[in-house]
Amino acid sequence: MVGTITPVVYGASNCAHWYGLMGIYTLAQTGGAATTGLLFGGAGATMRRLYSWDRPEVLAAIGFLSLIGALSDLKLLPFTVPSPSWQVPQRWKRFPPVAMAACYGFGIGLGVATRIPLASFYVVFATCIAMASIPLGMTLMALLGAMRAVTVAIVARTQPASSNAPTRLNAILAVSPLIAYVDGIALSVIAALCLCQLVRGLFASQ
Amino acid sequence: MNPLVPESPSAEGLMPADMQVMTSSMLRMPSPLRRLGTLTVFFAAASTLASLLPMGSLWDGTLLAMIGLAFLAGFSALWSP
Repeated sequence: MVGTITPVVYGASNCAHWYGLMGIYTLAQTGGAATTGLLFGGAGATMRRLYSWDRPEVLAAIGFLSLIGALSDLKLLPFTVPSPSWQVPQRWKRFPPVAMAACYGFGIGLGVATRIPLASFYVVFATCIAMASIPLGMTLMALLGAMRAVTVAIVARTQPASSNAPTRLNAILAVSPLIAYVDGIALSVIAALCLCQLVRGLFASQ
Repeated sequence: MNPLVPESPSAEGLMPADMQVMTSSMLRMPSPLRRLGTLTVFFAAASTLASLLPMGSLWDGTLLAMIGLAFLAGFSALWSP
């Protein structure tokens, strides 16, 4: 994403204009992500009424999914997590700046429509469903969307100051395996937290 | 002129040649055995910690960890293709 979004957003020369557009992009992305959280949380709440589940089932689902995700991100499985192949269209760049920032922000912010890079996305989605809470789902997804937009904003803002922009982008992209590694470790910790609680709960109930 | 559209060729997205350079300079993951070892160590350390904490605070900790994961997922999306 850094290779495509950053060139798009660092064209603005006027600082106030840049902040305005980046603000719209961030709001739209957060809104898109919160919409997904609303849908997942709502779906979870509906399913929970039909098929009642409690904390052990939530822990088991998130724990095992996190473990599979950790193995996948650490490239220890012969397959990668499935991902949609759709990408935001280039023709949106011809929209007026405000509409373009809003469209790209919302489209990318949804999270489920575009490429899903790492398994942590699926664990967050699964948590929104398993917790069966619309406010929690919206909050989790809004945090994800806001963080995603802020990261792009930081890279885009500092990009013009770089003496060699393509080299800088290459340097950022070169650490991609490290990001997957960190993601895998984080998922393994979450898997341990969930599965340990599950086991302790099972022993305590006996 | 749309101020968001790149103004110079150098501001364009990555070219195929750039991608080749990028691939060659990309960090490499350790061997599968080391990756499995890392996974096991972190899993065991977190399990040990989780077995020592009271159940109530463990659930709160899991929720906090999920919030942290949402932040990490948002940050890592920068490296999405």
